[in-house]
Amino acid sequence: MSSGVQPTQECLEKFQELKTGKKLSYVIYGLTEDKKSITVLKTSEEKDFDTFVNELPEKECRWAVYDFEFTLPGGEGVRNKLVFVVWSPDDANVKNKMMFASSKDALRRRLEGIHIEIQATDFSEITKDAILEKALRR
Amino acid sequence: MVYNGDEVSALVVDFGSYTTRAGYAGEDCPRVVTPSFYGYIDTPEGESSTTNGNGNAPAEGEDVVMGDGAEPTTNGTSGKTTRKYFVGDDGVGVWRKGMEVDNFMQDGIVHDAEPASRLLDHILHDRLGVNPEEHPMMITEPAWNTPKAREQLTQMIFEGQKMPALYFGSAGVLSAFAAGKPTALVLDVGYTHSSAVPIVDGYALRAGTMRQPLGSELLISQLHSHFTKPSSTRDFPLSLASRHLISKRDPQLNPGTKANPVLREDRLSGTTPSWKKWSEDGVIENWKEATTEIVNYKGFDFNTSKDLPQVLYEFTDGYHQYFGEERYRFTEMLFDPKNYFNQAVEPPATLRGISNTDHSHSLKDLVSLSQLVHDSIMACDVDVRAALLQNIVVVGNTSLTRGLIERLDVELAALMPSQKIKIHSPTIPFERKYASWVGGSVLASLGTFHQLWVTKDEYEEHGMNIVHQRCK
Repeated sequence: MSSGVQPTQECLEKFQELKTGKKLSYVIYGLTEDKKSITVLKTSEEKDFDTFVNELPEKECRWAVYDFEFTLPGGEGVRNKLVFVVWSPDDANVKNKMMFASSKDALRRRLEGIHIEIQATDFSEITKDAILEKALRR
Repeated sequence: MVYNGDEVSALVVDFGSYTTRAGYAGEDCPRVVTPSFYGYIDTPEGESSTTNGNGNAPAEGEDVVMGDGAEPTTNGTSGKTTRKYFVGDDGVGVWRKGMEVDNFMQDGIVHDAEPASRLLDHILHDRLGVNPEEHPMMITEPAWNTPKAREQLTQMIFEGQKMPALYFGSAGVLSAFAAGKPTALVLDVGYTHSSAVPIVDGYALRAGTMRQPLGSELLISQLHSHFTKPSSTRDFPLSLASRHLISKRDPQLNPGTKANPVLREDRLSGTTPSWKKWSEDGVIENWKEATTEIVNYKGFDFNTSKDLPQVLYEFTDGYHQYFGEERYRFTEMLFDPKNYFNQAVEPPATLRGISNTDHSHSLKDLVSLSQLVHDSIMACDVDVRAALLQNIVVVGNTSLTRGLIERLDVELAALMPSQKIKIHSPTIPFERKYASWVGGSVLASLGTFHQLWVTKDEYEEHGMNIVHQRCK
């Protein structure tokens, strides 16, 4: 079951740019004003994880793709993995939560090459450690 | 023709085992919350009914008694009888001579189409006052809904009410979405049953769907037996008489002394056993809602329970006492059915019909709510288990029992000590009670959702196939 809301072309283009280019570090997605499509709210070249997390509002849902860079244990080098974040804070209202939850799949299945997916409701669930744990497991 | 939720307001109906919820899509709350129980009176054909309307209507809220459009129905054995239905708030809630009570839901599914359709008609015309031909309709359904029930509802909507469009929303998915989660394990603790439904990316996984007849109805039947027999603190049974049957209460009772209310003699002989049971269950339900709690640790012990806080509660007949361990002992069944579900007490007949399958437990094999969650998750693919464990969404009226969420947390941690577990439960009570209605309300109000509606024209062209195809 889904809402029927679809991503704009720009959503996919920015994702490609993040995936293939070396510049972008994250893309934040949301809904358009009329709530009829998924749109890009922000792109950034800032690599800092905390800066990225600070982009997530306390009372509104978002989706995001973050290029997670990490060092393999034992000095085996640096790796990058794409993380898809479903941000649905407890304090968002039901309508907002419902819209984002029922539209997520329309965006997610158009993005190829995501390695890690995180569904978070508060900041304790979206930490570097939590992502690193998932990154190393696969 | 395309129906755009922005222009034409859709309606949402959520048939539940205890109540049916209905209202306009886009609104926060259902406008109508009304019993899924109904009353009926059978009269042999040709005999004029002496129970017309209702000679003893309550003084307040003299709404027109509904369901008066009597239709002849054939009774297989004793020739023709005329059955008169009484649905909605003024259905079972009003005493009528010779009125029997039944419920059109069974195992979470709309089982008895005729009274359900009477209720739908009442909701649309008398309660919401809409012209059904102008409104698309979203109906919620459990993950285990049957094709037959779907078909009956579809006919009711398109052929009976001539509504322009329809969609069946999966109740579990709607509850997960309303909590903001495309992926979640939805534990619904309701009246007739508790169910655990894994939802992954907006789809309910049949494989992991588990349910069992452990809910308020079973709890109330155990309490009914307890209250109608003397107990260790009370050497007489309680009357459990409802206000409909009491003409005068004992005015000055001391706590714990037997109540001797003056009953309405004029009504006693005309009260059917099924109505009596329904009204007594209501009295117990009120006690349950007001007093019961669940302890927040495993291994409930009657010796320590003497110290549990007491609450003064007064029944409708005037009987009152301080209740202590009884407030905790019966609800313990939800987490320890092996020890606290008394099999010697006759369970409700409809619950006995549920058999043991890969997806359901019978009354003989009830498991704790935590075990149900565990089994449901373990039946899913190993890749999704962690996500499900961290996104457990608890809904249903019985989940509002004080202490239930805390206890579930404790039990799950004990059951799966190495796992990260997180329970999310809507904090606003009506969002928990009516989770699937609330989810359906938002979804059906979206303009973008129009492509999913099954229109009447499409149904007329393709039949049920189009419904099954689109409502997944």
